[in-house]
Amino acid sequence: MVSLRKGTALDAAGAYAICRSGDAITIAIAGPVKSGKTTLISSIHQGFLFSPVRELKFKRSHTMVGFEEKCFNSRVESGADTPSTPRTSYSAGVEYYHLRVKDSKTSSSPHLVLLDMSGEYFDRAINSRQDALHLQCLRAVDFVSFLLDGAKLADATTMQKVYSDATLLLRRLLEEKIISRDSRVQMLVTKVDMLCKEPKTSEVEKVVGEVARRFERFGDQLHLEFHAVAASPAVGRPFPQRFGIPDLLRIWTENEKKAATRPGPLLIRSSRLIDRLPAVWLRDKYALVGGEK
Amino acid sequence: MNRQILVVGLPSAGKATFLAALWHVLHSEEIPEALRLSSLSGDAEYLNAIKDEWIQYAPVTRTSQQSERTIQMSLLDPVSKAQCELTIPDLSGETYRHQWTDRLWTDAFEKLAKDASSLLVFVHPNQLIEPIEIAEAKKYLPEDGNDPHGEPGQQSASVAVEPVWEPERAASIVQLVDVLQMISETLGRKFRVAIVVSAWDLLKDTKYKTPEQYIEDKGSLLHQFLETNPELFDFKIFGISAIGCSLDDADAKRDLQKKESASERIKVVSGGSSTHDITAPLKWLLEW
Repeated sequence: MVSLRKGTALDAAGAYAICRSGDAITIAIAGPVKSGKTTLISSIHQGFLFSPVRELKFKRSHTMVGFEEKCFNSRVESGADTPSTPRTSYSAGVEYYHLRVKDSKTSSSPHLVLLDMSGEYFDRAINSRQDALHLQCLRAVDFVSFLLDGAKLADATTMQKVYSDATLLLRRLLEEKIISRDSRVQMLVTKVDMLCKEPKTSEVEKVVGEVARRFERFGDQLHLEFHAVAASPAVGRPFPQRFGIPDLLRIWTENEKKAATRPGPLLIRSSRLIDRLPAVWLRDKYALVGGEK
Repeated sequence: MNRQILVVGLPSAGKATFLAALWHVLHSEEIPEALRLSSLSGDAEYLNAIKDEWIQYAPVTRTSQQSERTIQMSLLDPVSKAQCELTIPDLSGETYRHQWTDRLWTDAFEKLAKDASSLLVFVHPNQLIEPIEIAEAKKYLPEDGNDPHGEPGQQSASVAVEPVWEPERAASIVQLVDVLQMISETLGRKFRVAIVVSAWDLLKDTKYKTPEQYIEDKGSLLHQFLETNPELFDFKIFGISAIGCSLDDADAKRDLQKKESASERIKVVSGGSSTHDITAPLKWLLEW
């Protein structure tokens, strides 16, 4: 018998093999538990099943089984009455999803590598410096897309905590030099259909502007971008499925030719495997103190 | 000249029915421009058996994994007089499904894939599993007041069934594209792919006027995959009605039975033209 590629989410070595090709864009989907990370990743795959996403067409994926598993609970085939998404477990560590697209406008064919990890990593990083060090892999990515739960922002009892947690996390990541002014950090308002009556540009921009105002304090330290999505809008809301996802894909793929310049290799001192992943994944950017062991 | 065509398709994609009708057209010579058999070499028991089912409007027996075989035919093009030894491994749809679920294929399959000069890929309009989202489906149902957002890892009170993920429950078009990804990686060279939309007659009252339109819409992932990898694929899309009508449609069946030859039941549509020549996809594949 001949073993075939598993098709499930990749580990760091598998992602590194793709990144080595040189035209890969790495995106960390970051955010607390239940903020919509899995829904976002699955909706990117689901979108290509029905049509090209604007000028982007599906070219290849090494993680079709993984994507399908993430989509399953939102499908009629699951037998469920209500869409849900399987929760990414803390013990799974960092998982990588691969999608190669062809841009018919520019003829480029970038690999998108989406980094997924349990929201618990982010929740714990808020409280503990040691836990924040588990997020070192965010240093190596082209985009950190940090999710803000729109449903919680729409609720007065939970809104302040969303802002508070996000602010604490950004501060922690800055203090640990995991993100910096060179990083492209996107603040993504998910479930924006819970904040706007209609998908009108003016309404969405108003919401995004209000969210951006809450993060003005980081103006000197970070270049933050703000966007809004509704990957799976609530029934009855006049939002199309995967609202905002095409714009997000456009931004990520346009990055191909203008990826931010980065400093020389950063040294990783930790002996824990998860902290050492960047050195496996992007050897030109990270190195282990004392060399590889 | 020896050529091998690998027939690819998930279960119930129409492969066996195609083969039955093909065998009839090849040996009957009812269609003047169609490829024909230059000799009736070898054992034709299986092909005659499925041809008999087809000609009597009976459902054609599907190939099981236990009954897989390799079919060899000596073909003659009546126009150019060119001859060709054609090998078609008759593989069960389950074989391809297991490649998706078990992530394994046999050494024998790998050899078949490597020796293939081209692929004949079947897509049935009644795909086994479509990637329809609950949220989309609910738009067409009366409102029930449920919150469709659901929370990750949390089971809603209204969930009737606990979703249990199994790879075989993935969307059929995704399974097919992944199998083609793996075959193309094994071949490592450019090859021709004829996409056959089987049971084309089932789509006659739909918005799809051509098989190309159908694949671009309902098989979009496959279409994108073939289109964005021109270094690997040269593809053409055919719509084939091998039976001619639904076997449950007694009136349509009666009309077809009035035709002079059984081959006239067949309809092959591609690139805006229509013919009864079911060998058209083979002729296009063998041009390579």
